[in-house]
Amino acid sequence: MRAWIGMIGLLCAFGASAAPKIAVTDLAYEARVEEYIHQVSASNNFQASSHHASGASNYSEYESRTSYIEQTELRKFSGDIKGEILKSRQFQLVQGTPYTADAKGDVYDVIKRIKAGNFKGADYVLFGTLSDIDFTQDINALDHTNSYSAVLGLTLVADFSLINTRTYEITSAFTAMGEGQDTKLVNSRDVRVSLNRPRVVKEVSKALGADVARQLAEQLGGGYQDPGQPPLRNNLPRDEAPKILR
Amino acid sequence: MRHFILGALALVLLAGCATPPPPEPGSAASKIVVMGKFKGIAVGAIRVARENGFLTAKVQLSNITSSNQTMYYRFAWLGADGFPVGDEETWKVLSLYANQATFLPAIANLPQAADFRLEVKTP
Repeated sequence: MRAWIGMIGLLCAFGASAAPKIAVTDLAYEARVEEYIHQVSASNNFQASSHHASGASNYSEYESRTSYIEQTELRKFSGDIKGEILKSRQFQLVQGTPYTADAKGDVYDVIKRIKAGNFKGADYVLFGTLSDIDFTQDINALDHTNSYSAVLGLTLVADFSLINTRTYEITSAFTAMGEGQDTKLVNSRDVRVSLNRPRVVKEVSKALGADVARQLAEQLGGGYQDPGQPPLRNNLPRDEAPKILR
Repeated sequence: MRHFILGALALVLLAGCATPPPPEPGSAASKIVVMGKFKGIAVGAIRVARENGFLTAKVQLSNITSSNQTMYYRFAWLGADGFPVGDEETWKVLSLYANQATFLPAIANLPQAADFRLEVKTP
C-alpha cells in the first residue's frame, strides 16, 4: 500500500514538474485571388468556284472575371519560432494539425479549431496571423562611384496570441517582426544581378523566431525565475540585500 | 605551594606569548588585512550588498587619535572560489582629521566578485 502511495506521489511530482505543452500554428492569412479569363475565337470559311461562292465567318468572345478569398497558412516561417521556444526550455512542443485546403471552417476561428481537436495534447496554442509581408527591391546609386547597390529586402509582421486550450485565456499577445536583406554592389558592366532570395527568407525566419522568443520571455517572465521576481535583463547576478558586518 | 605559584606564573607568561585568535569568519575584522603597521585608525562596521549585479562595500573608519592621520588602502576583490578576480587595484591615500569618522565606499570592478579584502596600512 505504502509503495503504491509512493509511486502515485512520484507520478504526481513528475507531472507537476513537466513543462506545459505548446502547439505552434503556421501563420494564418487570407488572400484575395483574382482570375481573369478572356477567350477569343474566330473562324473564317470561304469557298468559291466559278459558279458559286459562299462564305461564313464566326467570331465569339468570352470574358470572365472571378475573385475569391482564399484562407490558408504560410508554412515557411514557423520553424525558427519552434526552435527558439525549444531553446527557452519553458515548453514542450506538440505538432498540431495544419490547416489545409480541405479543411472546412475559418482559419482564424482558433476556438473552433481547438474544439475540433486540431491541437490534441497541447496545453497552449501559439496562434499566429500574418499582418503584412513585403518584398522590396531597390537599386541605389553610390555617390562618387559608378557603382550601385542592389538591395532585396523582406519584412514580415505577424500577430501572435498564446491561448490556453482549456480556458481560452490569452496568456500573452504581441506583434513580432522579422527583417532580412541581401545587398550586392553592382557595376554598370554587370549584365544580370540576382539577389539571394532564399537567404533573405532564412534571415527573416530567424529574426522572427528570435523576436517571438524574446517577447514571450518578456511577458511570461523568462526561464526558471520565480514569478514574484522581475526577470533579469542581462547576465548579471541577482541583487542581494545589504549585510552589516561587525 | 611554591611549585603551584611558579606553574601559574608560567601559564600566565605563556598565555601572553600566544598569538591572538584569528577573526571570526564573516565578521568585519575578517575582511581587513593589515600590511605591516596600522595605528590610530579603527575599522568599524562594514556594509556589504550586491547592487545592480555588482558587489559593493562601505567600510566605517574612524581616527581615534587627536592628530590628523594618513592611511593607504586598496580593495582586493575575490571570486566565489576565494581567488582574486580582475586586476589588482592601486594603493590609494586617505586622510582623516583628528577624531574624524568616515565611510569608505567601493564597487567591485567585475560582477564575478563575491567577496573582498580591504588591505590597509599607515605610514
